[in-house]
Amino acid sequence: MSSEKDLSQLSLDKKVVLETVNLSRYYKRGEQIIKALDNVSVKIYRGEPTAVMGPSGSGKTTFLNLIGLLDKPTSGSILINGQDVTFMSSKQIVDLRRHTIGFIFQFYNLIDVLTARENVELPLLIAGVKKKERVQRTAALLSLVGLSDRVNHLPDELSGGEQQRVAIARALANNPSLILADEPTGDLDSKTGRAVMKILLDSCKERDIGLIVVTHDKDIANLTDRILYLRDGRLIGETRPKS
Amino acid sequence: MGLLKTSLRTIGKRRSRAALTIICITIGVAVFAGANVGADGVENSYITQLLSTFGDVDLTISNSSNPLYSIQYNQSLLNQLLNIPHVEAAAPRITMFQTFWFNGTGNNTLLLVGIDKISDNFFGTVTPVELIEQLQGNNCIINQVAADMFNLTHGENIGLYNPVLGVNESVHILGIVVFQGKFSIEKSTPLIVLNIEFIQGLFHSENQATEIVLKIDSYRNIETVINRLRNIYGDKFNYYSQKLEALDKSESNILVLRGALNIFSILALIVTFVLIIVVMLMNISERKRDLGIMRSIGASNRQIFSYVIVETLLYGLIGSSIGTFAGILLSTYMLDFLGAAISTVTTLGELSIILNPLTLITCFSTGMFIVLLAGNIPSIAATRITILETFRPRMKGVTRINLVKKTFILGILLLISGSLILYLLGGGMMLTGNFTPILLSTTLITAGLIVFFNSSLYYVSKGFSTVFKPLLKESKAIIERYIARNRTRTTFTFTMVAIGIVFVIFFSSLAATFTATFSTMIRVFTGSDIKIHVNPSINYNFSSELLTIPGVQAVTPSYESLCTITGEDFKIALIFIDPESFLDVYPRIITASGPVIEEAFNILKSNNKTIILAKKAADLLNLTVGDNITLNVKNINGSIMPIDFNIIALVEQFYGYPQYMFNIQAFGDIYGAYISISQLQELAGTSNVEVFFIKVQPSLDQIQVKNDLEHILTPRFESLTLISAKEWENQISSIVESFSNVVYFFVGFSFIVAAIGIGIIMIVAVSERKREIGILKAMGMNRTQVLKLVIGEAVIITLIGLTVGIGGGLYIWFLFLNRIASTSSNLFFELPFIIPVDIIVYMSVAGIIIALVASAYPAYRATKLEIVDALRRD
Repeated sequence: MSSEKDLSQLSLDKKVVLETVNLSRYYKRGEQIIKALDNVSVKIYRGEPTAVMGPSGSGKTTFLNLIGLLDKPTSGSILINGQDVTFMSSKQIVDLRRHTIGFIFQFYNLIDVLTARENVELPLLIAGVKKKERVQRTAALLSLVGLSDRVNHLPDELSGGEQQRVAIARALANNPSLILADEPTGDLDSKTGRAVMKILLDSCKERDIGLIVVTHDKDIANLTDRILYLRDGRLIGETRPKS
Repeated sequence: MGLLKTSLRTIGKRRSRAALTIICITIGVAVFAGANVGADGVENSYITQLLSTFGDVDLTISNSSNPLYSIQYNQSLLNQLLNIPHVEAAAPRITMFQTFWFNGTGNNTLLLVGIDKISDNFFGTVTPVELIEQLQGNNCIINQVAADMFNLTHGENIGLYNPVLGVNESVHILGIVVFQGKFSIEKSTPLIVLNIEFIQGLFHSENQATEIVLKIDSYRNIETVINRLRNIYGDKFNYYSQKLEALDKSESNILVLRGALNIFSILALIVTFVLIIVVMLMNISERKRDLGIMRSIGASNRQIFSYVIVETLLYGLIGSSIGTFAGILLSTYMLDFLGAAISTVTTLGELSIILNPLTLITCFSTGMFIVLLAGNIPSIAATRITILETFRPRMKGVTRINLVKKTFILGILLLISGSLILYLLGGGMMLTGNFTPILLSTTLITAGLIVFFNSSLYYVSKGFSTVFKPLLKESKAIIERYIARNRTRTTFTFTMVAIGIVFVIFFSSLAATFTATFSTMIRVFTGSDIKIHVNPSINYNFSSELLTIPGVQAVTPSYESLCTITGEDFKIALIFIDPESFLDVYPRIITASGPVIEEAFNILKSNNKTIILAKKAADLLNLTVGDNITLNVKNINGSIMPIDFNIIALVEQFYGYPQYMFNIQAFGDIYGAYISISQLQELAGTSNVEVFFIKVQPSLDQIQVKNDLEHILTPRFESLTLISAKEWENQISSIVESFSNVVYFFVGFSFIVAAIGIGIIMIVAVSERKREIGILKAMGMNRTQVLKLVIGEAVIITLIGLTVGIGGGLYIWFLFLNRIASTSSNLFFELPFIIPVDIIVYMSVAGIIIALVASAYPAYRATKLEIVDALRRD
């Protein structure tokens, strides 16, 4: 609760949800230093879905891991809602994951043993949201992603598109400021992929959420408002497909 | 060779998994080997102790037509016997009970032993040993018993005279000795040992002996030698081995000892078997990509199978070798504990490890066999992995939970059949000592409960997790589903916990009930606080003198005479009591019919030939109060007189004589009857009694009063035995305690096995749920919540095991108790259904601690999981 308060106090620019300043991540392989990410400085805005593209080994996953606080940078800093989160304690990071960041993965990563409703409810449970509110929010989110009639189905009983919609609902559950999606349509056919992306983009825009989508798929990237290009760990440019 | 190389490289690369598998095998084999080596040790010390009570003679050859007749022998026969494998020595011997008049007086029977002094030197020693060398002519050695009995001393000449046998010889006593080994035939028998030739001369029977005795290198070979002798001599001789007979008689005891240890070793093997499967399946699941690559480059099913089985066998080789040696070390502790546990009841002598190569080979081979057997399942699983599945990972198929499986009915059926077996067949177990029904029903009831809980696991896990909801919070929903969905694994884990608990609760209930019952029984049936037995007997009025001793509140004398009733099978124990003082010591006695006990005792006092009879005896004879009964009363001189008694009252209970609390066959059909002690002289021909019962003043310590009485009375009597109820109680408590210690020893073992099982299964669970834990962490689950997830699951599974174990144990005990009570309806006392609350609390606390300890490491591993690693796809 206190860090949530801190976050709101420290929020300087409401529009910018994420900012990286000279973000670098180097690995040592024997004597050789691999620059997985090299001096990347970028700002991500609320309500402006952004895609990150680049060939294999360009640093997309490293970038996502760093801004998702799953990895620590070698240098540089990360600011979420204006707060420097680069070297936060693990407790503060847990708090950020509960309230500020939502994740969507390529292979949905739903909990096998829980139903669609329970999977969406889970982040709310972890965050300690009261039951009445949990039930309401879960129902609303599943309705939003068009799965009101599949709430009691286990992941294995849902199609790939349905599973990813559950994953979107789950990512939205705690009203995050930022959603990080790693190849969200990578395991879906193009039609389903576009449908899922539409739900994701609309939801983020409606709720003024910052969205970063890492993808290989140009068509999917073109659905976003902004595309960042990475190559050999460096940010080499950006485009705005709709403009 | 290629496979071996690949397997070795895999082991080297995946050291932690390899170590886990080897640990599983090592522990299982170690427990198995420990139990078996321990069983060898227990068996050996039991047999050593048993055989130490016999001499060095392993086999006796006698005349088959009549063992009392002598056997004709010569040196050639002795040489033939000595040439038989395993025979170490052979000697003729004359052993006969003969009546002699020592020095012309007396009529004494003693054991006359004639030995071949040269050969008999092999059969043990005489103290001092050189005496045997001088044993020739009319020299003899006697034992201490003969010396004491006939007042004989060293150097004395004794005349052996028997006019019937025509013996009139004088023999010289060389020494009075304690015979060891060869002559310890009867420790209380007077023995005179002479040179065999002297006895042969005495009876004019050259080359004749009563028997030829053999010494065999080991008791294990006695049977072989007998068979060989039978082949050579057929039925010409009788072959008898006292040792073999004793071993045969004690075979069931040895089997019980071995059986108890074997149960746990088999349990350990079952656990190992499942753990190998679980761990190897985990290995296979983690190595799916490698296997997919192998398959994509053309590996056949057979090659994949061989690859996995060879790897498993390598683990087995290492695990079984370490396990066998670890088992030897483990057996030392087992034997120490076992020896200490039963020391208050019996001693097995020095328990030492016996390294029987056959046992060690069996343990190693069993380990390898189990590994081979278990290894087949992951090997087959590996052959079923498809290339597609390997490279495009799919979520593990999770089907909807069966709320209640059909096996629910099977569980109920097993429970009913187990209960019925105990009900129908278990009744006679107390009398016959056949515990097969109880073992069978215990197995069926436990299996029934396990199947029952397995089939309704959804509700069971939901119920338990709901109880712990305030603690588990967000983990509740996940835990209850993990438990219900991983049905087999959960069932296996809670079964490991439950099996040990069922036995401990059953035996603890038994111990608690019997301790309580015996305490009551001792109070009721001895009634008194102290029983005094004096020798020689003393006038019953001695009780008034005893009453003057400080601390004594009441005294009552007692005399018992066993009477028959003409035409009846049962007997009546006529108990002579003092109606004046009896109720002071036994105030709780009541009459079943007739006047109140005080009035009945008054009639007993003032009217001769009146008795208070056992109601059961009266019922059998169709008699009632006011009728007469004729008892054949035995006088002290042995004469029996039929005497009519008038029955003045009937009672159910006979205080003072614990042996009459039952009237079941095991104790003989004897019923009690009270009669006034004033008729003792008239009916028994004496006024003396040997038994007095004392009630101690309530504020005093009865053991202290007993010691004071002993101190005062010892100088007055040749022999005096005092026992206090408290001491008796303590003795019974120590027996129960020893019994409990043995049970706890085995329970400790099963708990260790359960703890290891839970730990390994939780490690596997964490490993398999890496991805889920990663997702949960990505959603903001903190360390405490992850810890709760893993530990909570282990604790709930353990609690299910505790419920099955405690519930099953109490239910079996309840049925068992019910059967004893209804089968032995003649019991004068009730066996209360006592729930051993303390033991249940200890077991539950111990179980939860085990779950916490066992899941601590897997939980720690779970908290340390990096989200990136957990979500990475191979």
